[in-house]
Amino acid sequence: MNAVVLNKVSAFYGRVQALRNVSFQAPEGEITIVLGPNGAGKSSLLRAITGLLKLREGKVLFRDREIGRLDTHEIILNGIALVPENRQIFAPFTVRENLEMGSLPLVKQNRRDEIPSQLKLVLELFPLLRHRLQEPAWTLSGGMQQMLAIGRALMSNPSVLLLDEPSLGLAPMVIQEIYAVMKRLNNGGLTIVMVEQNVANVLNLATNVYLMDTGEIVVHEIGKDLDLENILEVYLAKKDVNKTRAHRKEEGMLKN
Amino acid sequence: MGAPGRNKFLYWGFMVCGAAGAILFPSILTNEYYVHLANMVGISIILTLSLNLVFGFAGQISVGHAGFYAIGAYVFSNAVVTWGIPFFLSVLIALLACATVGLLIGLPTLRLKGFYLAMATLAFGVVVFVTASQWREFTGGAMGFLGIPRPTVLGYKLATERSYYYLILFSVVIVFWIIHNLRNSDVGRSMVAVRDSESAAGSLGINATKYKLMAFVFASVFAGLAGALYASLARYVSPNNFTLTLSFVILAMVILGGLGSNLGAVLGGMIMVLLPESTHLLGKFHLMVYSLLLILVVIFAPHGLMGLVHKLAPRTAHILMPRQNHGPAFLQESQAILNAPEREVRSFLEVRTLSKFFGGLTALYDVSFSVAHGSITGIIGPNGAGKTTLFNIITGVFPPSQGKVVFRDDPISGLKTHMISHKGIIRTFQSVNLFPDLTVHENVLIGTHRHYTSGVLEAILRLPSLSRKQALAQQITEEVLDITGLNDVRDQLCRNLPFGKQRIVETARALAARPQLILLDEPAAGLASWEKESLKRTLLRIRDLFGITIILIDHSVHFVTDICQHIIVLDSGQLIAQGSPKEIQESSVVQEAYLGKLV
Amino acid sequence: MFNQLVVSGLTIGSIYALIALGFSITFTSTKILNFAHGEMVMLGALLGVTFFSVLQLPYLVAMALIMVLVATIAILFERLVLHPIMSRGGHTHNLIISTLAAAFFISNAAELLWGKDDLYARPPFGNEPIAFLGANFIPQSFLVFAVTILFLFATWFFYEKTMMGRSFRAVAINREAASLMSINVKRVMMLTLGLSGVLAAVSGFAFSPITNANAFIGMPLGVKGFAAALIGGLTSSRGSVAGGFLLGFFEVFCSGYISSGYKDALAFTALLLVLFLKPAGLFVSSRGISE
Repeated sequence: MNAVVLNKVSAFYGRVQALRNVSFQAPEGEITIVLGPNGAGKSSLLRAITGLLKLREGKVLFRDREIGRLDTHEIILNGIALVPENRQIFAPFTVRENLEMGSLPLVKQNRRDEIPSQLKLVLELFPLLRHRLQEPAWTLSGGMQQMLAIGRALMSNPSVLLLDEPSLGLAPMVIQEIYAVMKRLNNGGLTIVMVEQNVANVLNLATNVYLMDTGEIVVHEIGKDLDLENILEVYLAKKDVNKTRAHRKEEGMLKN
Repeated sequence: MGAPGRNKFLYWGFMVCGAAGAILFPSILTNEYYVHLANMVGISIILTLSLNLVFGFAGQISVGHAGFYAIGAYVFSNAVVTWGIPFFLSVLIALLACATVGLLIGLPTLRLKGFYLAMATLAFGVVVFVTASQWREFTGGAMGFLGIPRPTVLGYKLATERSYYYLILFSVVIVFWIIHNLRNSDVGRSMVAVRDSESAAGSLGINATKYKLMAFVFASVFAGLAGALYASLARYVSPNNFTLTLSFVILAMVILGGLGSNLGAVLGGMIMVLLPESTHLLGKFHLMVYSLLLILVVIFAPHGLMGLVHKLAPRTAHILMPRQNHGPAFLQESQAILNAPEREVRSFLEVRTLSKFFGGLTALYDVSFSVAHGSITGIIGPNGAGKTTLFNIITGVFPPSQGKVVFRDDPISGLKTHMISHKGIIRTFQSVNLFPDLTVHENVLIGTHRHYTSGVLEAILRLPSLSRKQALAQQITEEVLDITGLNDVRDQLCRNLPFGKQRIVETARALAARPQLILLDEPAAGLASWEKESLKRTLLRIRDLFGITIILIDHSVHFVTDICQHIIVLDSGQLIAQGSPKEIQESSVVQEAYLGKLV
Repeated sequence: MFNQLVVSGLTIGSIYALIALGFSITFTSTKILNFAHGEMVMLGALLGVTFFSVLQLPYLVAMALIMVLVATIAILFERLVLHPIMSRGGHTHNLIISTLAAAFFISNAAELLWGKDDLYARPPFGNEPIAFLGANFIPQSFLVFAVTILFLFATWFFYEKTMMGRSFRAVAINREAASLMSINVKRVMMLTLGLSGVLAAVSGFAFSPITNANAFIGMPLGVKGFAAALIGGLTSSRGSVAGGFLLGFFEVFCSGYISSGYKDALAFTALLLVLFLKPAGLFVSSRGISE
């Protein structure tokens, strides 16, 4: 079963086409990675899922339910959380207040009783935050801000977590820590979709990989033994994208 | 060019009829009241035309325009009554006073935009109003200023409304003529360019400060003229003639008529006087009606009445605006510019130990490289590598923290954008930075500014030198449109074009500036594959035909390796590799930067 | 005389502080400078005359009614004028023009309903001057100050101590991030307009017994309120409030010691100076001014 599906989605920023006829599936309970150079449409993919980017054509489905026409604040209530690019934490708020904001979806659905356990989970995953609860978020380092952003997203107890380049600007140690957290959450059943630019980082995480370029999906690899050479060569333009192969594979996926 | 013959006939026919009507008008109508109305219409038209100049053309919103109207009126009145200065000299003094105040208000407001500019101009309007009410010695305070005389022209005193009408008619015609000529020259186009995109205008060598100030000063002078004319017409002025409400009504009428259109301003001026007259039931409600109308126009018909005319009857609109008549082509001269020999230089572009720090962030660190004349160089690197910062420094958007940029043996780091543009470096932007409300043709034509700048006097008086410049500029524009394959869309408004075409227009516009060096910031971003192929071909043609050196940034390694001879790779602000496409593809350093260390 | 001026300064300052705060919360939330804000003050004053003096309703009832009415008008304005423009691109010039147009619309409508003349509301505690520290003050001055402090506190409490208030602030900080927290950003903006309208109306109602109220006081008050907010820092609620009191004192002292005819021009000139020299405000660190 697929947690999130995009079906032939096209989307524009003004006159610029950000997504061209994109079909994408994020299987339930798995980690899906989306790779690609800047401007490839990776962020746009996540924004289309969360309603920050309006669709011109196509559908977005969450567990077979169409969410493409809804407003962002309504989509979130379905159990989707996004950690945006550059974290976008509420800088003047304290760490605790940021996490509180993250729990709003639970408040709106009368699930306040779940909040304490979520907070406990977040502080367990990111113990460094525990000591900084009363401090304004802008005083945190980049790495801690990223942890806060992820923690904030987790406060709503989502079933799908989307992350937009979480490793951007972070030290390798911190990146490894965050990825370890991702692994742990996924083991607990959380579906994760992660957008990254730096390929090497995500290699041992993913079981489902997409490579995008110019708003299109150009490569889709699935399973434990990913053909990374293929991805590398496409990325560096050493090899022309064999689109028919990618599309054939996609078709194969859809039949499943 | 359409059908110029037919256009011109109808156009001149319309003009002759209009002129005849205007001149015979007072003699035909027996009721002097209508002549009075016509006089008020004339004065209002001057007001709306002047506001349209500063707001419609130059994009500077002015919510206190009645302030200049007041200054013109009071300075004139004092000059002619209190100081006994002859009538027309008094008018001149009033105009000078307005110009000075326009400059004084224009200068500090240059940095302000949008809401802040609106507030500042509103405050200005109110300050003038309060001063007019309080400064009894100069303005007569709330009681007003009495006893303003009518002029004597050629021995004949313009004592009646009828006779004064001709003075107003003359003034309106002069003002319209001046503004019309300004608009249809490089001066007017530069103002519009500044309105639509200051950054793009700067990149083409247009000095935004100069043109904004020019617009302000012209607008204040014309409003002051209206003030002087009104003072003599009514023979009495009081602060109630110069309220904030009036400023608002002038603004409303300009927008109603069609912001950015001279004819729209004329319409607006007419409506301003005639609407309350024709519907007496408006009476107490007139402000409410104006406000409501204005809100509806802003939401549903933002280009006002002229916008609707354009939509519903495009041919009529074209009749009213004749095509530009360009003089004979001066072929020899244009060839000279195109084939100017390259003077011997040691290196074309050199970047030396360039660093840029933003507070604690290092955007660029110790970057050095040189670019050979006539080459196509690519700059690539992961997100946040500093590529656009590099471009910004080269084109003068901000200076480097350390190091320098040398262009053809000329150090250019630290110079302002429009000055660097004049040296021959033109750039395009990551997000399309066209002038959206202008046609493709006009956008490209504005690109020629740096070679064919015209002065104000030249523009107003339509001197022969202007025609010559326009012809040359036009010629280059035609050539560029041809090379880039844009002829089929030349008359379309840029905001209506598909994205791929917009990108090409931007490149075309940069080309029209006849640069020696063109910097393209992500020219292929967002293009479909066939559009990318088209762009590649165009760039190669540019290089081959004109010997223009190209530097481009792009994220698609594909695109860059296809077209560039030399590639520079940045990562986290540092230059990590440079070389031929093959070298870069094989380089493990580059691989690591993009893909991370593979386990 | 000095003590008299201090109390007057506090009184006028209170009014400007409330108006300025309204500007600030609207601007930080919606990035719009509402030129019609001053008209809400005017409505508060004139409605105050109608409800309190003419209909003789109790003070608190009149205030409640005014708050509800003006909040409704502000919300209608947001729905009917601002929202259509925002959804069509929200270009700054269009927003300026439409808020200006709305201001004149409301002002003209008020002129039709209440006429052109000055109106005075009856003061709730009578006009008997109270002697205090060697000067005579009318009770209304203290009432204005008290009402202001009350509403400033209530606003502060709402924004700092309630979840809803914090979600409003989140919208002001980062709209997209706020929507990802399932906050309905459009509704927040609408309610913010309503809240700022309420603050404006309350200040109008509070001072209606002290100064003349007529259909035309909206714009000058609005500009002064904006000047105050700008002086203190438009993006800072605390700064705006401080700016309000500062402007009040400045105006009163200039009027007392120099001349009273030019006092309006003084505020506007101060505004122009701040705009030219330090547009970010005196209490806020410099940032670029662009929309």
